[in-house]
Amino acid sequence: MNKSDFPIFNNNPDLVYLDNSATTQKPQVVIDSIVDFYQNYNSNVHRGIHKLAETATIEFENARGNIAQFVGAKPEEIIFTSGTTESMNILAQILFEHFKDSKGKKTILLSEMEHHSNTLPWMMLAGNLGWNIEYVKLTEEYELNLESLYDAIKKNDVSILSLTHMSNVLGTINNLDAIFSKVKSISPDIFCIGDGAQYVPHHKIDLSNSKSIDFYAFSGHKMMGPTGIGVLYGKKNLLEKLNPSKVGGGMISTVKRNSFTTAELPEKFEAGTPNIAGAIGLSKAVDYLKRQDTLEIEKHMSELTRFTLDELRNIKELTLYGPPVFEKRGPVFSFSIEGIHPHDIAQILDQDNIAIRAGHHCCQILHRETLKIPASARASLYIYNDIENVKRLSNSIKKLITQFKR
Amino acid sequence: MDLYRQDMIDHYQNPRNYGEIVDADAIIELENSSCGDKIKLFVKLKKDKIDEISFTGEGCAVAIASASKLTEYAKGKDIKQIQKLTTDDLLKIIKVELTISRIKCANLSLQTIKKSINSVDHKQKI
Ligand SMILES: Cc1ncc(COP(=O)(O)O)c(C=O)c1O
Repeated sequence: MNKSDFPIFNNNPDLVYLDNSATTQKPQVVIDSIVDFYQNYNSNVHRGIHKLAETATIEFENARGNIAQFVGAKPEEIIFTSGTTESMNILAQILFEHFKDSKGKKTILLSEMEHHSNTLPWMMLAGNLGWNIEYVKLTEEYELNLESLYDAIKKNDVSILSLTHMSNVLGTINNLDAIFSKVKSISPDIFCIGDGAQYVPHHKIDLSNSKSIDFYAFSGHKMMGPTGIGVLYGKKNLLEKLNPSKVGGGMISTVKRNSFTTAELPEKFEAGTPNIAGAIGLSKAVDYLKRQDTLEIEKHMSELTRFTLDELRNIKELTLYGPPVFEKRGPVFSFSIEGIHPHDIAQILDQDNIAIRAGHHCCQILHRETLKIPASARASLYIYNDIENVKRLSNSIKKLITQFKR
Repeated sequence: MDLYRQDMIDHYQNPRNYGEIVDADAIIELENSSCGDKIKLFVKLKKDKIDEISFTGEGCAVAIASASKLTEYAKGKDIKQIQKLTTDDLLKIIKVELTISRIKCANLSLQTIKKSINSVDHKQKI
Protein backbone atom coordinates (compact mmCIF):
# COMPACT_ATOMS: atom_id res chain seq x y z
CA MET A 1 0.00 0.00 0.00
CA ASN A 2 1.31 3.34 -1.00
CA LYS A 3 -0.39 6.62 -0.25
CA SER A 4 0.52 7.79 -3.74
CA ASP A 5 -1.84 5.12 -5.13
CA PHE A 6 -4.61 7.53 -4.12
CA PRO A 7 -4.81 10.62 -6.35
CA ILE A 8 -6.78 12.54 -3.72
CA PHE A 9 -3.71 12.68 -1.49
CA ASN A 10 -1.51 13.84 -4.36
CA ASN A 11 -4.04 16.54 -5.15
CA ASN A 12 -4.48 17.56 -1.49
CA PRO A 13 -1.01 17.02 -0.03
CA ASP A 14 -1.79 18.45 3.40
CA LEU A 15 -5.06 16.57 3.87
CA VAL A 16 -5.47 14.37 6.95
CA TYR A 17 -8.52 12.34 6.04
CA LEU A 18 -10.16 10.81 9.09
CA ASP A 19 -13.73 10.36 7.88
CA ASN A 20 -13.35 6.83 6.58
CA SER A 21 -16.43 5.42 8.28
CA ALA A 22 -18.43 7.76 6.07
CA THR A 23 -16.55 6.90 2.91
CA THR A 24 -13.04 5.92 1.88
CA GLN A 25 -10.72 7.35 -0.78
CA LYS A 26 -10.23 5.53 -4.07
CA PRO A 27 -6.98 4.21 -5.52
CA GLN A 28 -6.09 5.12 -9.11
CA VAL A 29 -6.78 1.55 -10.32
CA VAL A 30 -10.41 1.81 -9.22
CA ILE A 31 -10.89 5.19 -10.88
CA ASP A 32 -9.21 3.91 -14.07
CA SER A 33 -11.44 0.86 -14.26
CA ILE A 34 -14.55 3.04 -14.29
CA VAL A 35 -13.17 5.27 -17.02
CA ASP A 36 -12.06 2.17 -18.93
CA PHE A 37 -15.59 0.75 -18.86
CA TYR A 38 -17.22 3.93 -20.14
CA GLN A 39 -14.49 4.63 -22.69
CA ASN A 40 -13.88 1.18 -24.10
CA TYR A 41 -16.74 -1.24 -23.62
CA ASN A 42 -19.77 0.63 -22.27
CA SER A 43 -22.80 -1.50 -22.96
CA ASN A 44 -25.73 -3.05 -21.12
CA VAL A 45 -25.24 -6.47 -19.61
CA HIS A 46 -27.00 -9.79 -20.23
CA ARG A 47 -29.16 -8.71 -23.13
CA GLY A 48 -26.76 -8.03 -25.96
CA ILE A 49 -25.29 -10.23 -28.65
CA HIS A 50 -22.73 -7.74 -29.86
CA LYS A 51 -19.09 -7.71 -28.75
CA LEU A 52 -19.32 -4.79 -26.37
CA ALA A 53 -22.25 -6.32 -24.54
CA GLU A 54 -20.37 -9.56 -24.33
CA THR A 55 -17.31 -7.88 -22.79
CA ALA A 56 -19.44 -5.86 -20.38
CA THR A 57 -21.33 -8.97 -19.28
CA ILE A 58 -18.12 -10.94 -18.76
CA GLU A 59 -16.50 -8.13 -16.75
CA PHE A 60 -19.65 -7.61 -14.69
CA GLU A 61 -20.00 -11.30 -13.87
CA ASN A 62 -16.27 -11.61 -13.18
CA ALA A 63 -16.67 -8.75 -10.74
CA ARG A 64 -19.45 -10.64 -9.00
CA GLY A 65 -17.31 -13.75 -8.82
CA ASN A 66 -14.35 -11.86 -7.46
CA ILE A 67 -16.38 -10.08 -4.80
CA ALA A 68 -18.11 -13.35 -3.88
CA GLN A 69 -14.79 -15.09 -3.42
CA PHE A 70 -13.50 -12.20 -1.31
CA VAL A 71 -16.28 -12.67 1.26
CA GLY A 72 -16.43 -16.45 0.95
CA ALA A 73 -19.75 -16.61 -0.88
CA LYS A 74 -21.04 -18.24 -4.06
CA PRO A 75 -21.50 -15.81 -6.98
CA GLU A 76 -25.25 -16.47 -7.06
CA GLU A 77 -25.48 -15.41 -3.42
CA ILE A 78 -24.23 -11.92 -4.26
CA ILE A 79 -27.02 -9.50 -5.18
CA PHE A 80 -25.77 -6.13 -6.35
CA THR A 81 -27.49 -3.15 -4.75
CA SER A 82 -26.61 0.51 -4.40
CA GLY A 83 -25.21 -0.03 -0.91
CA THR A 84 -25.98 -1.28 2.58
CA THR A 85 -29.03 0.95 2.86
CA GLU A 86 -30.63 -0.44 -0.27
CA SER A 87 -29.61 -3.98 0.69
CA MET A 88 -31.47 -3.68 3.98
CA ASN A 89 -34.51 -2.10 2.33
CA ILE A 90 -34.70 -4.81 -0.32
CA LEU A 91 -34.27 -7.50 2.30
CA ALA A 92 -37.01 -6.02 4.48
CA GLN A 93 -39.34 -5.95 1.47
CA ILE A 94 -38.46 -9.54 0.54
CA LEU A 95 -39.24 -10.57 4.11
CA PHE A 96 -42.49 -8.60 3.99
CA GLU A 97 -43.50 -10.70 0.97
CA HIS A 98 -42.52 -13.78 2.96
CA PHE A 99 -44.35 -12.91 6.18
CA LYS A 100 -47.34 -10.94 4.95
CA ASP A 101 -49.79 -13.84 5.32
CA SER A 102 -48.35 -15.18 8.57
CA LYS A 103 -50.36 -14.90 11.74
CA GLY A 104 -49.41 -13.59 15.14
CA LYS A 105 -47.53 -10.62 16.50
CA LYS A 106 -43.84 -11.36 16.22
CA THR A 107 -40.75 -9.40 17.17
CA ILE A 108 -37.86 -7.93 15.23
CA LEU A 109 -34.78 -7.63 17.41
CA LEU A 110 -32.13 -4.95 16.80
CA SER A 111 -29.63 -3.23 19.07
CA GLU A 112 -29.12 0.30 20.37
CA MET A 113 -25.95 0.66 18.30
CA GLU A 114 -27.60 0.16 14.90
CA HIS A 115 -27.24 2.61 12.04
CA HIS A 116 -30.51 4.12 10.78
CA SER A 117 -30.06 1.97 7.66
CA ASN A 118 -30.34 -1.10 9.84
CA THR A 119 -33.20 0.35 11.87
CA LEU A 120 -35.70 2.12 9.66
CA PRO A 121 -36.30 -0.70 7.14
CA TRP A 122 -37.17 -2.94 10.10
CA MET A 123 -39.31 -0.28 11.74
CA MET A 124 -41.25 -0.02 8.50
CA LEU A 125 -41.55 -3.81 8.20
CA ALA A 126 -42.74 -4.08 11.80
CA GLY A 127 -45.30 -1.36 11.07
CA ASN A 128 -46.52 -3.10 7.93
CA LEU A 129 -46.85 -6.47 9.65
CA GLY A 130 -48.12 -5.15 12.97
CA TRP A 131 -45.08 -6.60 14.76
CA ASN A 132 -43.00 -5.36 17.69
CA ILE A 133 -39.51 -3.99 17.52
CA GLU A 134 -37.04 -4.38 20.41
CA TYR A 135 -33.56 -3.02 20.94
CA VAL A 136 -30.82 -4.89 22.78
CA LYS A 137 -29.11 -2.62 25.32
CA LEU A 138 -25.36 -2.09 25.62
CA THR A 139 -23.08 -2.82 28.55
CA GLU A 140 -21.07 -0.16 30.40
CA GLU A 141 -18.19 -1.01 28.06
CA TYR A 142 -20.26 -0.30 24.96
CA GLU A 143 -20.70 -3.90 23.94
CA LEU A 144 -23.91 -5.76 23.23
CA ASN A 145 -25.51 -7.02 26.41
CA LEU A 146 -25.58 -10.63 25.27
CA GLU A 147 -27.45 -11.92 28.29
CA SER A 148 -30.35 -9.63 27.58
CA LEU A 149 -30.13 -10.50 23.89
CA TYR A 150 -30.53 -14.23 24.56
CA ASP A 151 -33.22 -13.47 27.13
CA ALA A 152 -35.15 -11.52 24.54
CA ILE A 153 -34.87 -14.47 22.15
CA LYS A 154 -36.21 -16.81 24.83
CA LYS A 155 -39.02 -14.54 25.96
CA ASN A 156 -40.32 -13.10 22.70
CA ASP A 157 -41.45 -14.62 19.46
CA VAL A 158 -38.49 -13.22 17.53
CA SER A 159 -38.48 -13.81 13.77
CA ILE A 160 -35.76 -11.43 12.63
CA LEU A 161 -32.51 -10.42 14.31
CA SER A 162 -30.36 -7.81 12.59
CA LEU A 163 -27.09 -6.57 14.10
CA THR A 164 -24.12 -4.56 12.99
CA HIS A 165 -20.84 -6.43 12.70
CA MET A 166 -18.94 -3.29 13.70
CA SER A 167 -20.42 -0.08 15.08
CA ASN A 168 -19.82 3.05 13.01
CA VAL A 169 -19.84 5.17 16.20
CA LEU A 170 -18.31 3.03 18.94
CA GLY A 171 -16.06 0.84 16.86
CA THR A 172 -17.43 -2.14 18.81
CA ILE A 173 -16.97 -5.42 16.96
CA ASN A 174 -19.78 -7.89 17.48
CA ASN A 175 -18.91 -11.54 17.01
CA LEU A 176 -21.91 -12.23 14.80
CA ASP A 177 -21.02 -15.82 14.06
CA ALA A 178 -20.97 -16.79 17.72
CA ILE A 179 -24.00 -14.69 18.62
CA PHE A 180 -26.12 -15.97 15.74
CA SER A 181 -25.10 -19.60 16.39
CA LYS A 182 -26.20 -19.31 19.99
CA VAL A 183 -29.43 -17.60 18.91
CA LYS A 184 -30.18 -20.40 16.47
CA SER A 185 -29.52 -23.01 19.13
CA ILE A 186 -32.34 -21.37 21.09
CA SER A 187 -34.63 -20.68 18.18
CA PRO A 188 -33.50 -22.17 14.83
CA ASP A 189 -35.91 -20.36 12.51
CA ILE A 190 -34.86 -16.80 13.23
CA PHE A 191 -33.51 -14.92 10.21
CA CYS A 192 -30.08 -13.68 11.30
CA ILE A 193 -28.84 -10.62 9.43
CA GLY A 194 -25.50 -8.82 9.59
CA ASP A 195 -24.73 -5.20 8.70
CA GLY A 196 -21.17 -5.44 7.40
CA ALA A 197 -20.80 -1.84 6.18
CA GLN A 198 -17.99 -1.12 8.65
CA TYR A 199 -16.63 -4.62 9.17
CA VAL A 200 -15.89 -5.76 5.61
CA PRO A 201 -13.51 -2.85 4.82
CA HIS A 202 -11.31 -3.93 7.73
CA HIS A 203 -11.67 -7.67 8.21
CA LYS A 204 -11.72 -10.87 6.29
CA ILE A 205 -15.07 -12.59 6.40
CA ASP A 206 -15.88 -16.10 5.27
CA LEU A 207 -19.62 -16.27 4.78
CA SER A 208 -19.64 -19.86 3.52
CA ASN A 209 -18.08 -20.94 6.79
CA SER A 210 -20.77 -19.26 8.82
CA LYS A 211 -23.76 -21.50 9.23
CA SER A 212 -25.65 -18.85 11.13
CA ILE A 213 -25.38 -15.65 9.07
CA ASP A 214 -28.38 -15.83 6.74
CA PHE A 215 -28.07 -12.40 5.15
CA TYR A 216 -25.32 -9.83 5.10
CA ALA A 217 -25.00 -6.34 3.64
CA PHE A 218 -22.08 -4.08 2.80
CA SER A 219 -21.19 -1.00 0.73
CA GLY A 220 -18.48 -0.64 -1.91
CA HIS A 221 -17.58 2.97 -1.17
CA LYS A 222 -16.46 2.19 2.38
CA MET A 223 -13.80 -0.20 1.06
CA MET A 224 -12.22 2.00 -1.63
CA GLY A 225 -14.81 1.15 -4.27
CA PRO A 226 -17.10 3.66 -5.96
CA THR A 227 -20.34 5.01 -4.49
CA GLY A 228 -23.64 3.53 -5.63
CA ILE A 229 -22.62 -0.12 -5.45
CA GLY A 230 -23.08 -2.57 -2.62
CA VAL A 231 -24.05 -6.11 -1.88
CA LEU A 232 -26.86 -8.05 -0.33
CA TYR A 233 -25.65 -11.55 0.44
CA GLY A 234 -28.15 -14.30 1.15
CA LYS A 235 -27.71 -18.02 1.75
CA LYS A 236 -28.52 -19.79 -1.49
CA ASN A 237 -31.20 -22.08 -0.07
CA LEU A 238 -33.01 -19.06 1.40
CA LEU A 239 -32.74 -16.87 -1.69
CA GLU A 240 -34.13 -19.74 -3.75
CA LYS A 241 -37.19 -19.98 -1.52
CA LEU A 242 -37.89 -16.26 -1.23
CA ASN A 243 -39.64 -14.07 -3.78
CA PRO A 244 -38.33 -10.80 -5.17
CA SER A 245 -39.79 -7.50 -4.05
CA LYS A 246 -38.37 -5.47 -6.90
CA VAL A 247 -39.62 -6.44 -10.35
CA GLY A 248 -39.07 -5.37 -13.93
CA GLY A 249 -36.52 -5.97 -16.65
CA GLY A 250 -33.77 -8.48 -16.19
CA MET A 251 -35.28 -10.52 -13.36
CA ILE A 252 -37.78 -12.61 -15.30
CA SER A 253 -37.87 -15.89 -17.13
CA THR A 254 -41.23 -15.53 -18.91
CA VAL A 255 -43.86 -12.80 -18.83
CA LYS A 256 -47.50 -13.33 -19.74
CA ARG A 257 -50.39 -10.87 -19.53
CA ASN A 258 -51.21 -11.63 -15.92
CA SER A 259 -48.24 -13.47 -14.56
CA PHE A 260 -44.50 -13.93 -14.74
CA THR A 261 -41.88 -16.42 -13.68
CA THR A 262 -38.58 -15.32 -12.24
CA ALA A 263 -35.04 -15.79 -13.52
CA GLU A 264 -32.47 -17.85 -11.65
CA LEU A 265 -30.31 -16.43 -8.87
CA PRO A 266 -28.97 -13.81 -8.61
CA GLU A 267 -30.81 -12.01 -11.47
CA LYS A 268 -34.10 -12.84 -9.77
CA PHE A 269 -33.35 -10.08 -7.25
CA GLU A 270 -31.71 -7.60 -9.63
CA ALA A 271 -34.45 -5.84 -11.57
CA GLY A 272 -33.32 -3.10 -13.93
CA THR A 273 -29.95 -2.17 -15.40
CA PRO A 274 -27.39 -2.64 -12.64
CA ASN A 275 -24.53 -0.32 -11.74
CA ILE A 276 -22.10 -2.01 -14.12
CA ALA A 277 -19.21 0.43 -13.74
CA GLY A 278 -19.73 0.35 -9.97
CA ALA A 279 -19.49 -3.43 -9.78
CA ILE A 280 -16.34 -3.42 -11.91
CA GLY A 281 -14.84 -0.65 -9.78
CA LEU A 282 -15.65 -2.50 -6.56
CA SER A 283 -14.02 -5.62 -7.94
CA LYS A 284 -10.87 -3.58 -8.62
CA ALA A 285 -10.97 -2.30 -5.03
CA VAL A 286 -11.21 -5.92 -3.86
CA ASP A 287 -8.18 -6.74 -6.04
CA TYR A 288 -6.35 -3.83 -4.46
CA LEU A 289 -7.17 -5.14 -0.98
CA LYS A 290 -6.19 -8.68 -1.97
CA ARG A 291 -2.78 -7.47 -3.15
CA GLN A 292 -1.99 -6.10 0.30
CA ASP A 293 -0.07 -8.10 2.81
CA THR A 294 -2.96 -8.98 5.10
CA LEU A 295 -0.82 -9.55 8.15
CA GLU A 296 0.99 -6.29 7.67
CA ILE A 297 -2.25 -4.33 7.24
CA GLU A 298 -3.73 -5.97 10.32
CA LYS A 299 -0.64 -5.10 12.32
CA HIS A 300 -0.67 -1.53 11.01
CA MET A 301 -4.33 -1.05 11.85
CA SER A 302 -4.12 -2.53 15.33
CA GLU A 303 -1.04 -0.44 16.14
CA LEU A 304 -2.83 2.62 14.84
CA THR A 305 -5.94 1.80 16.86
CA ARG A 306 -3.94 1.33 20.02
CA PHE A 307 -1.96 4.51 19.44
CA THR A 308 -5.10 6.59 18.77
CA LEU A 309 -6.79 5.18 21.84
CA ASP A 310 -3.80 6.18 24.00
CA GLU A 311 -3.45 9.59 22.36
CA LEU A 312 -7.10 10.52 22.84
CA ARG A 313 -7.30 9.10 26.35
CA ASN A 314 -4.41 11.34 27.34
CA ILE A 315 -6.50 14.42 26.61
CA LYS A 316 -8.30 14.78 29.92
CA GLU A 317 -11.01 17.17 28.65
CA LEU A 318 -12.08 14.58 26.09
CA THR A 319 -14.69 11.86 26.64
CA LEU A 320 -14.13 8.87 24.38
CA TYR A 321 -16.95 6.40 23.63
CA GLY A 322 -16.53 2.75 22.74
CA PRO A 323 -14.85 -0.31 24.24
CA PRO A 324 -11.79 0.54 26.36
CA VAL A 325 -9.86 -2.50 25.11
CA PHE A 326 -8.36 -1.96 21.67
CA GLU A 327 -8.73 -5.60 20.58
CA LYS A 328 -12.47 -5.29 20.84
CA ARG A 329 -12.83 -2.35 18.52
CA GLY A 330 -12.16 -1.08 15.07
CA PRO A 331 -10.44 2.23 14.30
CA VAL A 332 -13.50 4.44 14.90
CA PHE A 333 -13.23 7.02 17.66
CA SER A 334 -16.25 9.07 18.69
CA PHE A 335 -15.73 11.66 21.38
CA SER A 336 -17.07 14.79 22.97
CA ILE A 337 -15.46 17.68 24.79
CA GLU A 338 -17.32 19.48 27.56
CA GLY A 339 -18.24 23.01 26.49
CA ILE A 340 -17.33 22.62 22.81
CA HIS A 341 -19.98 21.46 20.37
CA PRO A 342 -18.93 18.64 17.96
CA HIS A 343 -19.71 20.87 14.96
CA ASP A 344 -17.26 23.43 16.24
CA ILE A 345 -14.66 20.73 16.85
CA ALA A 346 -15.03 19.47 13.27
CA GLN A 347 -14.89 22.94 11.81
CA ILE A 348 -11.79 23.98 13.71
CA LEU A 349 -10.03 20.74 12.78
CA ASP A 350 -10.99 21.44 9.18
CA GLN A 351 -9.14 24.73 9.40
CA ASP A 352 -6.08 22.57 10.12
CA ASN A 353 -6.96 20.36 7.12
CA ILE A 354 -8.11 17.47 9.25
CA ALA A 355 -11.36 15.94 8.03
CA ILE A 356 -13.50 14.37 10.75
CA ARG A 357 -17.27 14.09 11.14
CA ALA A 358 -19.66 15.63 13.65
CA GLY A 359 -23.26 14.74 14.32
CA HIS A 360 -25.22 11.66 15.28
CA HIS A 361 -23.65 9.59 12.47
CA CYS A 362 -27.06 8.10 11.61
CA CYS A 363 -27.35 6.67 15.14
CA GLN A 364 -29.84 8.89 16.97
CA ILE A 365 -31.07 6.15 19.29
CA LEU A 366 -27.51 5.43 20.42
CA HIS A 367 -26.74 9.10 21.00
CA ARG A 368 -29.97 10.02 22.73
CA GLU A 369 -30.56 6.94 24.85
CA THR A 370 -27.18 5.35 25.46
CA LEU A 371 -24.58 8.09 25.24
CA LYS A 372 -27.07 10.79 26.30
CA ILE A 373 -25.56 13.46 24.06
CA PRO A 374 -27.14 15.05 20.97
CA ALA A 375 -24.06 14.58 18.83
CA SER A 376 -20.43 13.52 18.88
CA ALA A 377 -17.25 14.13 16.91
CA ARG A 378 -15.81 11.12 15.12
CA ALA A 379 -12.39 10.31 13.71
CA SER A 380 -12.24 7.08 11.71
CA LEU A 381 -9.12 5.57 10.19
CA TYR A 382 -8.26 3.45 7.23
CA ILE A 383 -5.22 1.68 5.83
CA TYR A 384 -3.62 4.82 4.36
CA ASN A 385 -3.65 6.69 7.68
CA ASP A 386 -0.57 6.70 9.87
CA ILE A 387 0.77 7.70 13.29
CA GLU A 388 1.63 11.16 11.93
CA ASN A 389 -2.05 11.73 11.01
CA VAL A 390 -3.15 10.80 14.51
CA LYS A 391 -0.55 13.08 16.09
CA ARG A 392 -1.87 15.96 14.02
CA LEU A 393 -5.37 15.13 15.19
CA SER A 394 -4.47 15.11 18.86
CA ASN A 395 -2.36 18.28 18.57
CA SER A 396 -5.20 20.15 16.90
CA ILE A 397 -7.65 18.94 19.52
CA LYS A 398 -5.35 20.17 22.29
CA LYS A 399 -5.01 23.51 20.54
CA LEU A 400 -8.75 24.01 20.20
CA ILE A 401 -9.31 23.13 23.84
CA THR A 402 -6.95 26.00 24.74
CA GLN A 403 -8.76 28.30 22.33
CA PHE A 404 -12.02 27.65 24.18
CA LYS A 405 -10.52 27.84 27.69
CA ARG A 406 -12.38 30.35 29.77
CA MET B 1 -12.05 35.66 8.63
CA ASP B 2 -11.62 33.28 11.52
CA LEU B 3 -15.01 32.10 12.62
CA TYR B 4 -13.67 31.24 16.06
CA ARG B 5 -12.22 34.60 16.89
CA GLN B 6 -12.47 35.73 20.44
CA ASP B 7 -15.75 37.67 20.20
CA MET B 8 -17.60 34.61 18.85
CA ILE B 9 -16.26 32.42 21.62
CA ASP B 10 -17.15 35.17 24.10
CA HIS B 11 -20.75 35.33 22.86
CA TYR B 12 -20.87 31.51 22.98
CA GLN B 13 -19.54 31.23 26.51
CA ASN B 14 -21.26 34.36 27.87
CA PRO B 15 -24.39 34.72 25.75
CA ARG B 16 -26.18 38.08 26.06
CA ASN B 17 -29.92 38.14 26.76
CA TYR B 18 -29.75 34.59 28.05
CA GLY B 19 -32.65 33.59 30.28
CA GLU B 20 -36.42 33.54 30.41
CA ILE B 21 -38.98 36.33 30.34
CA VAL B 22 -41.76 35.30 32.68
CA ASP B 23 -44.53 37.41 31.13
CA ALA B 24 -43.41 37.06 27.52
CA ASP B 25 -45.93 37.66 24.75
CA ALA B 26 -44.56 34.69 22.86
CA ILE B 27 -42.29 31.76 23.59
CA ILE B 28 -41.18 29.70 20.64
CA GLU B 29 -38.69 26.86 20.55
CA LEU B 30 -37.15 25.53 17.35
CA GLU B 31 -34.71 22.69 16.90
CA ASN B 32 -32.25 21.70 14.23
CA SER B 33 -32.93 18.00 14.33
CA SER B 34 -29.84 17.12 12.34
CA CYS B 35 -27.46 18.43 14.99
CA GLY B 36 -29.62 18.84 18.08
CA ASP B 37 -29.25 22.63 18.35
CA LYS B 38 -32.18 24.13 20.23
CA ILE B 39 -33.16 27.77 20.68
CA LYS B 40 -36.10 28.90 22.81
CA LEU B 41 -36.98 32.51 22.28
CA PHE B 42 -38.94 34.87 24.57
CA VAL B 43 -40.29 38.23 23.30
CA LYS B 44 -42.31 41.07 24.71
CA LEU B 45 -43.59 43.72 22.35
CA LYS B 46 -44.53 47.31 22.96
CA LYS B 47 -46.71 48.44 20.05
CA ASP B 48 -44.67 47.53 16.99
CA LYS B 49 -41.34 47.39 18.74
CA ILE B 50 -39.45 44.62 20.46
CA ASP B 51 -39.41 45.69 24.07
CA GLU B 52 -37.74 42.71 25.66
CA ILE B 53 -36.11 39.68 24.13
CA SER B 54 -34.22 36.72 25.54
CA PHE B 55 -33.37 33.14 24.77
CA THR B 56 -32.30 29.85 26.25
CA GLY B 57 -30.96 26.83 24.46
CA GLU B 58 -28.06 24.66 23.61
CA GLY B 59 -26.00 24.24 20.53
CA CYS B 60 -22.78 24.97 18.75
CA ALA B 61 -20.84 28.22 19.01
CA VAL B 62 -22.39 29.50 15.79
CA ALA B 63 -25.97 28.87 16.96
CA ILE B 64 -25.51 30.37 20.41
CA ALA B 65 -23.35 33.33 19.38
CA SER B 66 -25.84 34.21 16.63
CA ALA B 67 -28.74 34.09 19.04
CA SER B 68 -26.76 36.28 21.40
CA LYS B 69 -25.81 38.83 18.76
CA LEU B 70 -29.16 38.79 17.03
CA THR B 71 -31.15 39.38 20.21
CA GLU B 72 -28.81 42.28 21.00
CA TYR B 73 -29.51 43.69 17.57
CA ALA B 74 -33.28 43.12 17.74
CA LYS B 75 -33.94 44.84 21.04
CA GLY B 76 -35.86 48.08 20.43
CA LYS B 77 -36.23 47.44 16.69
CA ASP B 78 -39.47 47.59 14.77
CA ILE B 79 -40.93 44.14 14.19
CA LYS B 80 -41.36 44.80 10.46
CA GLN B 81 -37.66 45.38 10.20
CA ILE B 82 -36.93 42.07 11.89
CA GLN B 83 -39.41 40.21 9.73
CA LYS B 84 -37.60 41.46 6.65
CA LEU B 85 -34.16 40.23 7.70
CA THR B 86 -32.53 37.82 5.29
CA THR B 87 -29.76 35.32 5.91
CA ASP B 88 -27.31 37.76 4.35
CA ASP B 89 -28.44 40.48 6.76
CA LEU B 90 -27.97 38.03 9.61
CA LEU B 91 -24.41 37.24 8.57
CA LYS B 92 -23.67 40.97 8.53
CA ILE B 93 -25.14 41.39 11.99
CA ILE B 94 -23.13 38.55 13.47
CA LYS B 95 -20.11 39.50 11.36
CA VAL B 96 -19.02 36.08 10.20
CA GLU B 97 -18.69 34.22 6.95
CA LEU B 98 -20.11 30.74 7.07
CA THR B 99 -19.86 27.65 4.93
CA ILE B 100 -23.12 26.22 3.60
CA SER B 101 -23.17 23.48 6.20
CA ARG B 102 -23.04 26.01 9.04
CA ILE B 103 -25.50 28.62 7.79
CA LYS B 104 -28.36 26.61 9.23
CA CYS B 105 -26.77 26.86 12.67
CA ALA B 106 -26.86 30.65 12.49
CA ASN B 107 -30.29 30.73 10.89
CA LEU B 108 -31.97 28.90 13.74
CA SER B 109 -32.14 32.01 15.91
CA LEU B 110 -33.41 34.18 13.03
CA GLN B 111 -36.18 31.70 12.29
CA THR B 112 -37.11 31.50 15.94
CA ILE B 113 -37.28 35.29 16.32
CA LYS B 114 -39.42 35.68 13.21
CA LYS B 115 -41.74 32.91 14.27
CA SER B 116 -42.25 34.33 17.74
CA ILE B 117 -42.95 37.82 16.42
CA ASN B 118 -45.42 36.41 13.92
CA SER B 119 -47.24 34.51 16.61
CA VAL B 120 -47.73 37.70 18.67
CA ASP B 121 -48.72 39.68 15.63
CA HIS B 122 -51.26 37.04 14.78
CA LYS B 123 -52.74 37.09 18.27
CA GLN B 124 -53.07 40.88 18.25
CA LYS B 125 -54.99 40.83 15.02
CA ILE B 126 -57.54 38.37 16.37
C1 LIG C 1 -22.93 0.43 10.16
C2 LIG C 1 -23.47 1.05 8.92
N1 LIG C 1 -24.56 0.55 8.35
C3 LIG C 1 -25.08 1.07 7.22
C4 LIG C 1 -24.51 2.16 6.60
C5 LIG C 1 -25.14 2.69 5.35
O1 LIG C 1 -24.31 2.54 4.26
P1 LIG C 1 -24.64 3.22 2.88
O2 LIG C 1 -24.84 4.68 3.16
O3 LIG C 1 -23.44 2.96 2.05
O4 LIG C 1 -25.87 2.59 2.33
C6 LIG C 1 -23.36 2.72 7.16
C7 LIG C 1 -22.71 3.88 6.55
O5 LIG C 1 -22.96 5.02 6.78
C8 LIG C 1 -22.84 2.16 8.35
O6 LIG C 1 -21.76 2.68 8.93
